[in-house]
Amino acid sequence: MSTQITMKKISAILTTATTILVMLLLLAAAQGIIIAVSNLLTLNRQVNRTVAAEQEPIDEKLSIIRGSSKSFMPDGTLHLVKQVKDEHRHAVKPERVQIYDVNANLIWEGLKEENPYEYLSWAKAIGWRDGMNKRQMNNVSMITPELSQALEIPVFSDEQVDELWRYNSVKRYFVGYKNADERIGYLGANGFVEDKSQAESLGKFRWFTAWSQQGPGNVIMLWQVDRKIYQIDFENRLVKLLFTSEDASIERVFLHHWRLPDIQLGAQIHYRPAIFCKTEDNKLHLIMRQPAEIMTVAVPAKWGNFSTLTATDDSVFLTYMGNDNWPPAEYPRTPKSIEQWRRQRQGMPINRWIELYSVDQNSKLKLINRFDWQLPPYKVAMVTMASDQRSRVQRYVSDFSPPLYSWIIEIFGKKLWQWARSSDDNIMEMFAEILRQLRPGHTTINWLLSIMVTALALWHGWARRTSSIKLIFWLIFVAVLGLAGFLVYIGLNHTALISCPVCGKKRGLTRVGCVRCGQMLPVPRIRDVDKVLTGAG
Amino acid sequence: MRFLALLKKEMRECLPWFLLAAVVFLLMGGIVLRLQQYHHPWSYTAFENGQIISPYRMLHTSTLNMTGAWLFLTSIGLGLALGIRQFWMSSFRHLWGFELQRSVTRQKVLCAKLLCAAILFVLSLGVIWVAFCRYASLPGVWLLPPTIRVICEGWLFIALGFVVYLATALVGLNTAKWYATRGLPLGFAVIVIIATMLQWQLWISLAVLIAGGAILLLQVFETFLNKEF
Repeated sequence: MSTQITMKKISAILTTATTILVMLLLLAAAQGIIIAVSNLLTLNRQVNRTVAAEQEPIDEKLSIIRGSSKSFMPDGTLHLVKQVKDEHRHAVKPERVQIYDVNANLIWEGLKEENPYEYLSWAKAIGWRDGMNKRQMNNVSMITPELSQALEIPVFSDEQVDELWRYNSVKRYFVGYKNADERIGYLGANGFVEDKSQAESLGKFRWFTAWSQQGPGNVIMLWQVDRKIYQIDFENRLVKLLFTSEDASIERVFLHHWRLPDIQLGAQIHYRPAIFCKTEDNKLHLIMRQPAEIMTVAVPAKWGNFSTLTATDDSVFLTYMGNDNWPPAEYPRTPKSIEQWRRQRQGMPINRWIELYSVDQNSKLKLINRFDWQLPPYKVAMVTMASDQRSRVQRYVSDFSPPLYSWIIEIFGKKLWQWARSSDDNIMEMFAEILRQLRPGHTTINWLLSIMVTALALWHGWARRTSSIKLIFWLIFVAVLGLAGFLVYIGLNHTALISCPVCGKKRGLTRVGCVRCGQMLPVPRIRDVDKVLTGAG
Repeated sequence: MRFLALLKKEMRECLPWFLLAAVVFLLMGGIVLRLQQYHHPWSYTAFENGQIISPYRMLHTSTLNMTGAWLFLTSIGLGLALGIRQFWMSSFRHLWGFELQRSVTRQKVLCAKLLCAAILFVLSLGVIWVAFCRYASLPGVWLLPPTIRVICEGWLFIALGFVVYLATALVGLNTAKWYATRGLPLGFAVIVIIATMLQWQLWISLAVLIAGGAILLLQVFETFLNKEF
């Protein structure tokens, strides 16, 4: 009996939980649809407003400095290279450039290919089309109705598939096949082995990029894990460890002429193929070839994301782009302190600069050149009529969201999204995004709605109450969850009412006694036809 | 003995749906698998010399991908069909009195229905899926065998069909109005399916599936044992 009662209580809790989950998602879907339809209906208005904003006058010298890329030559000379654009801000074809000196004086203009000056090029990030990071890899590993995908690298011989190497995401190495039943071996951290027990894991995957060799066209892959970078040659079954970070995880990896030689005819600057990576301890590492060499440069914390390296045959250079509009590295990174910093900086001009350093054999930096310029304070962003209307619709529609959303955001703040992002869980990210987008826009209206539905729930539940505790629970439930909570309450608690034969007031049927006068439910009078057996005779 | 008799009765009633699901999956799954045998090697194209390769060109679906799609659809369909047959038809035809007024407990009646459904899922879909996986591993016929993960994902689809069956059963047992909250268990089943598929780690998918299935199973038990038919 007690098991039955326990099961009944657990079932009631689960029913309520599943119903509120479904109702919250349905409400979020309805709100999302209304906001999306509103966005579609106001799409045209935004285009018209943007054209009007472009007609403000600006300082020409500042415009040149702001609109050009700052390019260094190996001797430290800085030029401002500006791409010529048409009235619609598209680059003209064929591409033309204007070269200015640091005082914005024009020194050359012409086709980009005919530019007589040669500038240092820098290690760049690999786009999502050419590389795959952990998040992208996770997304393709999701189960779909067509099952999940796997990373498979073919090795061709005479244009036929000779071998296939498949990545095992559990064991974290590659398994080679000749055909469905013949395993060639395993490519792991210790290279190629034939025995499965000897294969070592490459490590927790972070990022990879791949290219095909000149000639056979078979794949070579750069494989980054938490603290290591490998180069894997599938045709020759080689795994080469290029870099190991002993103290900290690798944050980002940039490449410069590493994958394919990019030799331009007549080029004066000869680069060494290099991989530039930054680790979490603010060290910059340059892994070079021709000859093989690794260089580590320690930089101030705030430089980390704004500096990059390059290596020529003669020297190694570092560039750093600074901006005093960003808070210093030691400044606290809470939402309130960042907002405080923004308010302090409002109305102040922005100082920016770019520096070029050479890096010697002992990884010491020597400043070669520095260029400073000042930008006017940022104006308050022009809110277009359309975007204003869109955000207004979003704010009012979001007022129907539960007040609980606001409380969660107040308590956890930015940590919520940081945690959702770092957990790599799509569902957590989805819920965090729902909270962010559908957070009530007006606290007062949201609370008024919540009070209204709570009052409705009280009016509905008063005559139907079976216990005070249950009624109070449902009232708090509706107050916290708003409209969704009220719909759940009605769905799970709506029962019929009858008039009490004694006091005449409305009462529910889920309790025996009337809630007002305590009178029991009327018992039907036994009639002759109700008797199954009649008396003798 | 009585339980076995109940089980046989349920199996007899659900036989047409079992046969339909098995035939559809065997036929359609087999056709697409056979087609894959010819088309799959062509999905591996040689890369141009000296080019940066898009990582998405190296991602490949399994040879069982289209078969898996048919398994997913058939499993959901079988779940709906069995749920309607076992729990909705008795309500529509007012046969609950006949089914329950016997010398067996309600628990046995319910367990017979659930066990029948589980057996039919395994027999009609599970056995055929294993056979397809075995065929897809034949040497000389295929370039690569399916991974363990892909085989497990197929079983996950079969389990999702069972979750849909439980949700359909709960809809049939629910006393709420059709325009009110009666259909919510099916909404919950949809959430379980989406949550299962959004995971990239198989064990988390399994955990979500088991949690969702356990919630529905408990509610089915509680509703069936306490409902006034």
